Amino acid sequence: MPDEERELVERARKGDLDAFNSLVIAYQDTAYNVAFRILGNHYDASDAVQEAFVKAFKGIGNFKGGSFKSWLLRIVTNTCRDVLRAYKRKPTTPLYPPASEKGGIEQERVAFLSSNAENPDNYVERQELAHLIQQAIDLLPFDQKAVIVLSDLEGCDYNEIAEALGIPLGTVKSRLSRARARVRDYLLAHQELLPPRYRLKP
Amino acid sequence: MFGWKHKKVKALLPLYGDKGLSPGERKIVEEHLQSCKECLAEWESLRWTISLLRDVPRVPAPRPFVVRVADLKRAPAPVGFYVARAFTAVATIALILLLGFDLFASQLAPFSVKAPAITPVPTQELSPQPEAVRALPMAPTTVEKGGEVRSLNFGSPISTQLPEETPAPLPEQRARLPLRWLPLEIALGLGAVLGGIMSWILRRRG
Repeated sequence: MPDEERELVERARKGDLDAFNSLVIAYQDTAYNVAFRILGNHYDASDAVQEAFVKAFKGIGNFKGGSFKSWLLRIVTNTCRDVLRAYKRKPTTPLYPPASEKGGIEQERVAFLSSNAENPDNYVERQELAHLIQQAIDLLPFDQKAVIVLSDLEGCDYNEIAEALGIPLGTVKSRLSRARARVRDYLLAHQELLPPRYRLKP
Repeated sequence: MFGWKHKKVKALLPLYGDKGLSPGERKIVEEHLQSCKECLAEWESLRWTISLLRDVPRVPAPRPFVVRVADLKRAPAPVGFYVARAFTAVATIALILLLGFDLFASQLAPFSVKAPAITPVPTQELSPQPEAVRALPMAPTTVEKGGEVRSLNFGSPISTQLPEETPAPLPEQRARLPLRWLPLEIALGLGAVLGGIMSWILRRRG
């Protein structure tokens, strides 16, 4: 943990909300992406991330050192798990389209996001890829979903994932193996939906 | 054709792309991939999958998620929580009062039971036994008196003379009343526990 981050954590532990909010700014993109890929829509992801940060501030006294990012990601993934459990208890039909459907809020963001340096065609193709991969991830059980999102979409290493999910390293590997194999099977079965440049060369 | 090695390599392939394998495992996979077309095709498809996953665009956070002081105040709990909590409190107080009354009443009640009189076994004076007595055969462990068979102390020589006086009957023993409101007390206890659990669940959901 960098010195600056350690100092912010120490101040936050003493109740300094501004110091904690500096950490929020640093990690909100990571937290949001994890929640969005696990939950599959922006509305629940936003609520879950906000709730997770509030829980993190209230519980920062329990942070025993180590990686702050892993500790925070544990709170985020646990909050996402609670949201998914609540879905199971009270299944509802959302008023908004899920991210895995075209015409969802992802499409609304294209204009905003295409202002970056990326070629708009490339961007649209990557959005199509993201839709299909989101569909594949949505079909995974929570445990595999969390591992593959942290590993392959967020680039966390195995130790960080083990710490974030509170599971042994061997379990991380086995869940990641199964998740990758299932996503591979799904992508192979729906390859025609991918832009040509993303298809598997025979 | 390849046996166990083929199966093992197939299981290791999903982690071959990153640092998930030990150097020994990597070597086994590398050697096997050179000779097994099936595993090579499997590995190509997995490598393709991993590269697609890593190419998924990141989504920027739609707004800042900074925590405000207002966020730290607890949201008001649902009405059911207060109802459950009030029920728990009432049930607990009623249970304590009823238990207290019941125990107090059982102590004060002039209810007594005449305990059955127990005739004690006649005692014997233990005195140093002379040599002649020690030489006697061991006594039987029971003796009859007035048609009644009684147990005697083990293995001591028999005493031929039993004391004639009859012991005084024991005084009457006061017996405690059982808890007369026990079913109601159990119901109140269960109600208090259930009310506590319900209020905890409602608070968590709220």
